[in-house]
Amino acid sequence: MDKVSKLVLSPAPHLRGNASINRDMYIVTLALLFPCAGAVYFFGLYVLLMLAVGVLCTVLTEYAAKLMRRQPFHMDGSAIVTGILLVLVMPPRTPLWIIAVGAVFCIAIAKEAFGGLGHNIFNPALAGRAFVTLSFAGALTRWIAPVSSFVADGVTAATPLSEGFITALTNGVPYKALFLGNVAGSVGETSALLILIGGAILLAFGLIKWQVPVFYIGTVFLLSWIMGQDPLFHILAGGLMLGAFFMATDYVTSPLTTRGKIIFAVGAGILVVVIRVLGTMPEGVCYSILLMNAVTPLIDRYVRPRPYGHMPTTRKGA
Amino acid sequence: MGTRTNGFFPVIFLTLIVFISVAALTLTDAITKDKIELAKEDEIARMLITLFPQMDGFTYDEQNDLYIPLAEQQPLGRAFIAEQSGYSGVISILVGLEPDTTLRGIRIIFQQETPGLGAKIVESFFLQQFPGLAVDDIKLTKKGGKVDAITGATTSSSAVVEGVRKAILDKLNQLGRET
Amino acid sequence: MHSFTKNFLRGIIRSNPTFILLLGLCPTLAVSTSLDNAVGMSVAFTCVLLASNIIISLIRNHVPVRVRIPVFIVIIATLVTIVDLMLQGFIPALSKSLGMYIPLIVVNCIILGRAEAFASKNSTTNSIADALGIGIGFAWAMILISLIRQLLGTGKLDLFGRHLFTVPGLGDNPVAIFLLPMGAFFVIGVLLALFRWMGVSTGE
Repeated sequence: MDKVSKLVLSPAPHLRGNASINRDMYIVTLALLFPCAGAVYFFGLYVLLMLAVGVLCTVLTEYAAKLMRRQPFHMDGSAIVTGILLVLVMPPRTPLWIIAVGAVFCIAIAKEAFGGLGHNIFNPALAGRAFVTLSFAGALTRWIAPVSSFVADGVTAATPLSEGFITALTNGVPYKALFLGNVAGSVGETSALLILIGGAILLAFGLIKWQVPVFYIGTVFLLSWIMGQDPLFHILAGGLMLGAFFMATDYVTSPLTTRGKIIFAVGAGILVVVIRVLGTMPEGVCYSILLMNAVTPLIDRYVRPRPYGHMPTTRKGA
Repeated sequence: MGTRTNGFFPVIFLTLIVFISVAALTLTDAITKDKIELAKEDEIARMLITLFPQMDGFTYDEQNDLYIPLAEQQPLGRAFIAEQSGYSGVISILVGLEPDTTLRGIRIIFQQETPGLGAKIVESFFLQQFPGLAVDDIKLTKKGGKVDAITGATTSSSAVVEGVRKAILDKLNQLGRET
Repeated sequence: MHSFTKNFLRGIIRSNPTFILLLGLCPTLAVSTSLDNAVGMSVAFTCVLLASNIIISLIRNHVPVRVRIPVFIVIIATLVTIVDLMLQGFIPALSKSLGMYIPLIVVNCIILGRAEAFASKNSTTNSIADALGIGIGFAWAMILISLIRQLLGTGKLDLFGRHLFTVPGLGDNPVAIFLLPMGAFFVIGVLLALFRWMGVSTGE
């Protein structure tokens, strides 16, 4: 999308490029297949069921919302992406009805109530996740260890960011398991490797800018290091990778310009470390992105590109 | 509305209103003061009696801020209020002690924790872990104590436990200094 | 009596303080967690509004314009403090669950709004009608919001300590967010959208 770095204005007629919401969203879906496949491998076939419910509910809700708003329904794939992302940030044994409630909230309230695709302030998947976390806190704080077999029930385990996990460490931080994904956590967040592959696809097709994940993850790395934490642990554990590649890069809810995107990424990175280290919650990726979503219009105002030929006004006495 | 808007009239009018208001409030205070005191004592008595069921009255030791439940004029133990910041806002806890320093039990007087999660600190499955604990055992299990945290609500559980332990230690210190 | 009925009915629907004028949302959002609170708050609020409307309409011809707002505020603050002390003395349980929101009726903009916009310009009879209408308008809005929040947030319906019924399926897994402030925003937002959709437009 940013192959052309200079803005070229030309009068109509224009050639139609092959970039469209449809195409972009199906590429994102393709990229998401890697974390999804990893999730099925680590947490069993139940994840497939979760994905089916999530996607079905988001698409049906979108259809119903368009019907109520008397607008045409386009199968543009954005509802599918929201459904998959919502499941990827849920605990691996989330009851299916909770996923359905979250999916309806994502589309009906976080997206359509604000005016539909392109008008939503908050990332729908994360808003849905925050909604169900606050609603069904008890049911959503049970985490299980990865199960290689396809059993329905898992063994309860601590996520890397919870207190129990860190105190239980006896022989060093298992960086390799954290990188490959063989730890407890949300469905799609555990494997940094698979998320990086998905992210590479997005970058290769030019769907996201490299600045967002690099500055986001880099800020977390630097700040956690400054605050005396293990920086490598902080970037591998939890949902940072998933958030950095698939959520902080959302077109609609992040700033338009590259400079704005960098401010967004750095701000989100600071929030993650502040919430994780100083706050009472173990994980801060979800709220860091939602909070930066809220200030995105402000960032856009601040970094508005200067119109061509426009001279900045000099302040008196400056 | 009034036409006399100049000079001292507005000032005099406002002063008059304030005087009437003060008079009305003084009167209300006189009527309700005793009732409010009684209501507050009632509430503490109702909490105390769940900790000391055989209690038939209590006295308040103003100097040490202690409630002393009585049965036939004999003290049954001591109780006081502990406060600690929880996940959201301050949690007020009534702490009851046996005549020695073991814990009789605790009751949550006021809390604003997350409904369905931290708010479970008021439920009996959590509170029933406390009776009989020695001061040093009032810690969460993973910190070497004998109290299990509520799943998913470590902060709230920890606030209660730490608040109770610190308050008991402070209170015993304070009493020790004075005797 | 025609104007009495008109002034009374106006506050209930056409210029409903919560859903049409969007006034006094702070206490509405904060207190509407249970039906008990909604009823208690509505009664306390209506008492203060009624008394303030009566007093202000009685003295309306004597209040100097320059100090009218301070006068209104002193009167309202006095009334609220009286109600607060009375509740603490006679209904301590309600006073405890409404907490600081009783003293905060002072800054509830509906009361000062009615004093400034209505009671200071109209007869005592009409001001009573206005206070009762606005009071009922506030009450049914509060009760509707708190009913939805209580049903979704706890999965059951309790009224003054008596358990009425449990919503099947919700009793074990209540949607706790509806007891939090953001839940109140969702409920009010959806209700407002619903009323607009039903064709109730802005009054006054």
